[in-house]
Amino acid sequence: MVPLLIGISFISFLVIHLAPGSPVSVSLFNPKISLEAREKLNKLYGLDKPVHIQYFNWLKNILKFDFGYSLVDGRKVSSKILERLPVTLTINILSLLIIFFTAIPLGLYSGWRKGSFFDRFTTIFVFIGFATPSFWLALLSMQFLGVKLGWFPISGITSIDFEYFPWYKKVLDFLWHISLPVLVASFGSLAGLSRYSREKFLEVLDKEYIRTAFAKGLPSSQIIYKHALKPVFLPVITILGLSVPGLLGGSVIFETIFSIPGMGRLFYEGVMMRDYPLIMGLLVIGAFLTLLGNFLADLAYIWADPRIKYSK
Amino acid sequence: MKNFFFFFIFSFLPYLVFPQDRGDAIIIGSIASPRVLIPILASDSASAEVCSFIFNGLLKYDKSLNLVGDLAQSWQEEVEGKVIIFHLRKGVLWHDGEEFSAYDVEFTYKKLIDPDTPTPYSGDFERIENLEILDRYTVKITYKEPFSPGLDSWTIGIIPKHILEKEENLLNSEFSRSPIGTGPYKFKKWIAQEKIELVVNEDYFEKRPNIDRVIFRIIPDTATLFLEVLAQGVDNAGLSPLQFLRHSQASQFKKNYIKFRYPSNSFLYLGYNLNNPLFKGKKVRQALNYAVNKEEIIKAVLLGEGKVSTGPFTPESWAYDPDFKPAEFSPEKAKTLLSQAGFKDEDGDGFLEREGEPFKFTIITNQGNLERQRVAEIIQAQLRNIGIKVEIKVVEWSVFIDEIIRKRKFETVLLGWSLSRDPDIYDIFHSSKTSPSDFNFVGYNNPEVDKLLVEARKTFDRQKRRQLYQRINRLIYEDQPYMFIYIPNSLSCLHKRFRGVKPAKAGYWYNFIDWWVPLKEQRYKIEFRR
Repeated sequence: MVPLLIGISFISFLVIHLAPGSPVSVSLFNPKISLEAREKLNKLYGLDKPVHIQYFNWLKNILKFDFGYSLVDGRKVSSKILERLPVTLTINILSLLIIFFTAIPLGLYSGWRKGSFFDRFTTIFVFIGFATPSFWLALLSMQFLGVKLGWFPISGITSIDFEYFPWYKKVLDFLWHISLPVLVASFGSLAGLSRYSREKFLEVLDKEYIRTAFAKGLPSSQIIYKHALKPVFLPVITILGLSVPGLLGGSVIFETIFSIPGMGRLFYEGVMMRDYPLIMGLLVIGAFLTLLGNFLADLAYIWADPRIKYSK
Repeated sequence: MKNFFFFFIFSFLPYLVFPQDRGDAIIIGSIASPRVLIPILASDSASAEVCSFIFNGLLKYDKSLNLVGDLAQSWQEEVEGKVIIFHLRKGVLWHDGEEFSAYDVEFTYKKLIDPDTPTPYSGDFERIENLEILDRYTVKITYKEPFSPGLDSWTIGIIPKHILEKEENLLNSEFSRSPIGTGPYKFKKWIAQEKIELVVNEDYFEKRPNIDRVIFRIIPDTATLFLEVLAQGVDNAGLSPLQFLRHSQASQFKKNYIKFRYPSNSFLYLGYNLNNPLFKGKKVRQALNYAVNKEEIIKAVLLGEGKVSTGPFTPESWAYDPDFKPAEFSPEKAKTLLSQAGFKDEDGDGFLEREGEPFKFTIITNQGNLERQRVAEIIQAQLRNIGIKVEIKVVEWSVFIDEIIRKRKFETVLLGWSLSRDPDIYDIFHSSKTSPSDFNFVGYNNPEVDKLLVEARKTFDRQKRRQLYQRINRLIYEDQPYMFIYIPNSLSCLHKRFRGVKPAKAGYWYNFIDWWVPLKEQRYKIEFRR
C-alpha cells in the first residue's frame, strides 16, 4: 500500500505542477504589483526550484505528517482540511444512510413484487431522481420550500446567531440547515442502489436453492431473510467500499449552491488558485481512503461470502 | 422667548421624533470569501471590503470622492509635492487599547517595502525616499520625485506595530485571521467559507456606530444569493442585470429592499497585440472600433445596465471627460478604413483579404465569465458582417495569465480593468511597461502619451492633472490600443429597515456608521457578548 501511495502522490505532484499557471500569477494580476514582488513570491514559496526537488521536500514533510502551508492564505493545510471535514462527512454519511435505508428496501420490494404497480412506480420515481440535475432540483426546492413556504433555510449550515444557542439548539439548527441538501443529494442517488438490489434479488430468487426452499414449503419470510438476502449484499458491499473515499469528497456544484463550506469547494478553489500544498494534501488523503475502502470491502466480502478466501 | 422656545423644539425635533436606535446587525452577502485580513496583503476585493470595516488609512475618500483625512487629521505638501507631512489624530486607540501613533505608520511602510512581505502594493511605496517621524503624531514623507498618485496610496489600512513587530511572516500569522485595527468594527469571528462576524467598536474615534454587528455571509452562487435576499437571509447583495430588472419584481423583494445602481469602477476592453502585423496599423484598429456596435452589446449582455466606454477612465473619476464622444457605429466607415489599409474581398467569398491572406483573428478570454464570452460572440457576429472572420477561445484564468498574457501568445484578448480611485494609468499604457510580467501587454508605445503620463504623475493640481489625463484619453482613443467596450453598472440591493442611508457619488457605504434601524424593525436582537 505504501509504494502505491508514493506512486500516486508522485504522479499527482507532477501533473499539477506541469499544469500551466502558477499560484503567483493567479492572485497577482494587478497593475499595482511589480515584477520584483512577483519574483519575491516565487522564491518565498520555493517555486523557483526544479519540480523533483520540490517533490522530495514535500515528501520529507509528509512523512512527518506535515502537509505544509496553503499558498493562498498561509494557513496550515491540515487545519484547512480538518475544519471542512465534519460538514462534508456528516452530510455524506447522512445521505448514505438515507440512500441505503430507502434504496435497498425499495429495490427488494419491487423485486419481490416484480411488475406490480409499486414496482413500476418506484422505477419511474428513482429514474426521475437519477435524471434530474441536482443543481436544478436544489434551486427549485430552495425556491419552494425555502422562499415560498419558509420551512427550510435556503443556504449555509448554521443560523446567524448559532454561537449564542445552547447546545441542543445548535444540533437542531445544524440538522435543520442540512436537511435540504441531504434530501436533494439522496434523491439523485436512489436509482443506482435500488436497481442493483432489485436485479440481484430477482437473480437470487431464480436460483435453484430458493426454488427448492419454496418447494419444500418453508415460509417465505424465512426464505427471504435467511437465504435470499445475503447474496444480495455482495454488490452492495462493493458499492459501500467504493463510497468510502466519496464520503470525504463533496460535489462542487452542490456545495456552491447550498453555500456549504465543504471539501469539494476546498479542492476546487485549491486547483483554481494552484495552491499546490493544499491540492496534494487532499489528493493524498483521497488516495489513502480509496485504498482503505477497498481493503474494508475485501474484509466484508469474507464475512458475506464464505467461499471467498484470501490465501497468503 | 416664545420664538426661542419654538426654535428649540424644532431644532431638536428630528432627534425627538427619530431617535437613532442602536443595535441590530447587517448581513452582507458576498460571492467570494476573503483570503487574508491584513490590508497590505489583501489583493482580492472581498478581503479589502472586510478590511475597510476594521482598519483605517491615513486618508480616505469622502462622499464626493475627494481625499480627506482619516487617521491623519490634516496633511500638507511641500517642495512641489516631493514632501508630504501628515499630522495624525491624537488619542486614536487600537482595538486592544493601545494608542495609535506615527510608529505604526512607519511600521506599515517598512512592511510594505520589505522584500519578504508578499504584498501587491509595494510599487507606490518604493517611490518614497525616506519616511521620517517628526514627533509621535507627525510623519514626514519624502518622495524621490514628486509623485501625485502617492496620496491615494496612503488610503491603505495602517497595521499595529506593537502586535506585529515580532511576527516573522505576516501571511502565516494569527493576525491575518483575527486582525486588530482602529476601525469602526472589531473582528470577532471567522468561519472559513461561511461567515465573518464583526462587532461594533464602542470607542471608535469618530463616533460609536449605531449598528452593533456586521456579518459577511459567503454565498458563492448568485442564484442562491438572490433566493437568500428574497427570504431576507441577507440584507445587502450584488445583483445581476437580470435580477435587478426582472427578478426584483417579486413581491418579497419589493416589500423589503431598495435597489442601487452605480457605474462601476471598471471597463471592458478588447486588447490588440500591437506587435501582430495585422494590428500594426492604426486604421485597422479604428475600423474595428467603427464596426462594433457597443450599444447593442450593452443591450444584449447587460440588458442596458452599462455605458459605452470612451477610454480608460470611468464616469465617476474626476479624470473622466464628459464631453468626449466615442466613435459612432458605422460599418461603412469601417469598410473605407479597411480598404485604405489594403483589405478587399479579392476572391468574392464574403470575407476580406490582403495579399491573399484572409482577415482572421482570435479573441481569447478567461473562463468563468459568461458575460465576456457573450460579448465575444456578439463581436464575432458583428465583424462577420463586414467580412472579418473571428474565432473565440476561452481559457482558464491561471493559464490565461501565464501562457497567453505573459508570453504574448494572443492576437486579441477580451479583458476588464478595475482601477484605483487615482487615475494614474502609467502601468498600463507607458511604453516602459512592456516586459513579460508588466501590464502594458498590448505593447502600446506613443511617445507623447509617455511624456504626458510622466507629467501627470508629477502634477498635484487636480485641474491641471485632469487636463493632462483628458489629453491622454483622446490620444489613446485615437490610437485604439484597446477597443473600449463598456463600463458595466454595479447593481445591488439593501434591506429597507436601514435608515440614514444617503447615496452619493462614492456609493452608499461611506456613512455606514450613521446608519441605524428603529428598534421595532430590528431583526438580530441577540445581546452579543463583547
